[in-house]
Amino acid sequence: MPSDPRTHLPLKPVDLVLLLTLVEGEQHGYALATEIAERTDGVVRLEPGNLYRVIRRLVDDGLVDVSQKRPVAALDDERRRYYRITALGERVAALEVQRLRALVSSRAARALPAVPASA
Amino acid sequence: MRPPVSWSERCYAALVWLLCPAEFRARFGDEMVDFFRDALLDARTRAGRRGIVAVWGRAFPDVVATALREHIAALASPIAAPPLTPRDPMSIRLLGDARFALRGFRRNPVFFAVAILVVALGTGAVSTIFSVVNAVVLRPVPGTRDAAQLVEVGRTRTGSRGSLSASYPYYRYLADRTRMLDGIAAWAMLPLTLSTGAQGVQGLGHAVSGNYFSVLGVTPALGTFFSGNDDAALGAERGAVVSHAFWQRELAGDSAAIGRMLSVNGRQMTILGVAPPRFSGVYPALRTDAWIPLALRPELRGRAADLNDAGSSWMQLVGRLTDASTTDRAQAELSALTAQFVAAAGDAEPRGFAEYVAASVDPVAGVPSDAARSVTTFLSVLLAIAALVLLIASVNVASMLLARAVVRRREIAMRIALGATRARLIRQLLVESLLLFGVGGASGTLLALWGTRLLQRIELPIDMPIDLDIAPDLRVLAVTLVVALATGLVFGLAPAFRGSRLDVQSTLRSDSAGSGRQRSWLRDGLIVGQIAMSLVLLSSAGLFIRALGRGQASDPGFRVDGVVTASLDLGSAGYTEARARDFVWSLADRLEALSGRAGRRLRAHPPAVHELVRARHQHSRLRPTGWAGWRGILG
Repeated sequence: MPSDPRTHLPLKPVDLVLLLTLVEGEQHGYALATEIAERTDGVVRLEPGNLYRVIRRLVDDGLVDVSQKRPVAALDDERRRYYRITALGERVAALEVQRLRALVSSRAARALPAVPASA
Repeated sequence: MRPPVSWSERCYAALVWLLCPAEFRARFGDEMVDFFRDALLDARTRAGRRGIVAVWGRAFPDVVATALREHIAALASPIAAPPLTPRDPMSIRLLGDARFALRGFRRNPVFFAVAILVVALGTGAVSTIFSVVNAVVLRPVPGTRDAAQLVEVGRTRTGSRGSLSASYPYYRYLADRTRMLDGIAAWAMLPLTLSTGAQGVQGLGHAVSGNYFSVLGVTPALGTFFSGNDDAALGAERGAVVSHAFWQRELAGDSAAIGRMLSVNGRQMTILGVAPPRFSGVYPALRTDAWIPLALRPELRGRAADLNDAGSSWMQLVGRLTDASTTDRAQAELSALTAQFVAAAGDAEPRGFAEYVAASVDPVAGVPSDAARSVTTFLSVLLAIAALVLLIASVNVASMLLARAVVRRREIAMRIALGATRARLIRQLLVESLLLFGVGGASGTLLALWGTRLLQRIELPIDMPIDLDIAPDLRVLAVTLVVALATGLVFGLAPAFRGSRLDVQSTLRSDSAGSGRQRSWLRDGLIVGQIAMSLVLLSSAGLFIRALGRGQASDPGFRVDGVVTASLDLGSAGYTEARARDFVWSLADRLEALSGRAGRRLRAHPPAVHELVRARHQHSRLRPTGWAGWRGILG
């Protein structure tokens, strides 16, 4: 898809978390949701309806794709659909991370006082 | 390998199928169900039933929200959905109706938000009270196997009410001879002071026969339980079983707790095992901290008594029906055995006992069978009041729908003119009210979730540790939705019929959207009904408050302001009556001496307790016994 990655920025936080999870390997829906919940300490909890709305948006935008490869047969359930990140998706995620990194390391951001995580 | 399809999964699949628009469903429906199944399996292995409720608690709002968003997105998209034809299956046509109704919701958000809120309040009230009914009466005794087979056995008189607790010889007589029951166990409550270190905690314990846990079908979470029928020997072994909560709370959930010593009312006992979570004996509402052998109860209460004395009756019996028996057959058998026992015991029993020659067998219901009647009556009254609230709410919504039907007369007339049949219109209006009540009911369950939490925080002014989990479960959710949809159907029918009956020509010809028509008997009826029901509710609430006020203001015959009471359980700490009396007197003296120094008017009064209690009931004058100090306190 000849799409400029820049047009997808900025990403919604959920989209970025999902893309970053897919960078490490293909996943099916439920595994993806539990993985995301774990990574974010339960802050981002995706229920099925919500999750697939996000996935549809990302698939329609060409950032995520339905995978053709199957994992080991023993672990596999033939009905499951696995999702993987596309090349465009990787580029968009990388650009978004760069953008955030620049934001975080800006002088104003560094000048902010430290706040305990629980507050 | 796929586990069998559960009801939850089926319900969820049906929800996805019913609510989500076709395009979304075709693409992700199966995957959503797969997801839900995985989540369910995970939650069940992690948290059992609670897990299932939690998964539903998240999944249900998610499906509804997703469906709503998708429908709204579909409406906003420029490509219209294909028109519906009469040849489409009913489900598709209903879906079309639902979509149309949602579009209506979107156009009148305030109207529908208010209507949904009203329904939610009504169903929330019903759902909250039903959660309590469910927990107290309907839910099986937690922690036991095949709770439906468990029965309470009582010893009764023929002809008149009242029952007699069992004595140990009576219990053994039945247990050794019954064939209809697959074992009978005996148990009795007793207050306990438990301590694992320096500080003791007060709690409630059960003294139980050796076969208690096997009859109830309870398996230990840790260690072992009592076993066998030799209750005297079990008593000599001095073992105790503690509740899961006690183990967590006082023993820090330590698996090395088995074999440790526990001080029970001042006696050292060995911890044998830990009961499974949520098991709290036959009456789950009462928090139980420990179980001890039957034979130790007299000693722990500071009394010397022989277990084999037919004259001391303090046990309750619980049995398990065999597969072949019923409560009636078991009752006939145990009544015959009781009569035989009375004949055989003769003078060994006190004289009054001989009247009790029959037995009662009732299914275990979570509350004692003699209290079950008053508890169910009380809960039924509460449920009726909640139902009245729902009824008022529904009537309210019905009038709102009716008013809306009047506003929509031109639209409806137009549809009739374009060829819509009356059935089609009624269906459309009904789907609308069902959707309204469905969403309202779902929100009502959420309200109940919050309501039960609030209820649970109320501390009852009684001397028993109450600990009951009343959070709504799947049954409550199902009942609430059924009730909501049924009321939606009933209260949607009249406005639907009324709304679809129109004189097309005059409606379309008149410019106004429908003002100044003749009064509608339906609207008047709804308003009258609503006022009548509100009055009933208002006056019962008033009566209730007055009764409460009267209870509080009742004159006990003495001054109660500034009087505090404290109670001590000296018997369980090993005091004899004479020693206890000395102790209380000296405590009173010392308290008074203390207060003198502090300049406060504090006086202690040793036991005139029985006289006080009697005075409260009879409103009569107090007659002092023994000690004159009480007069200074009570005036």
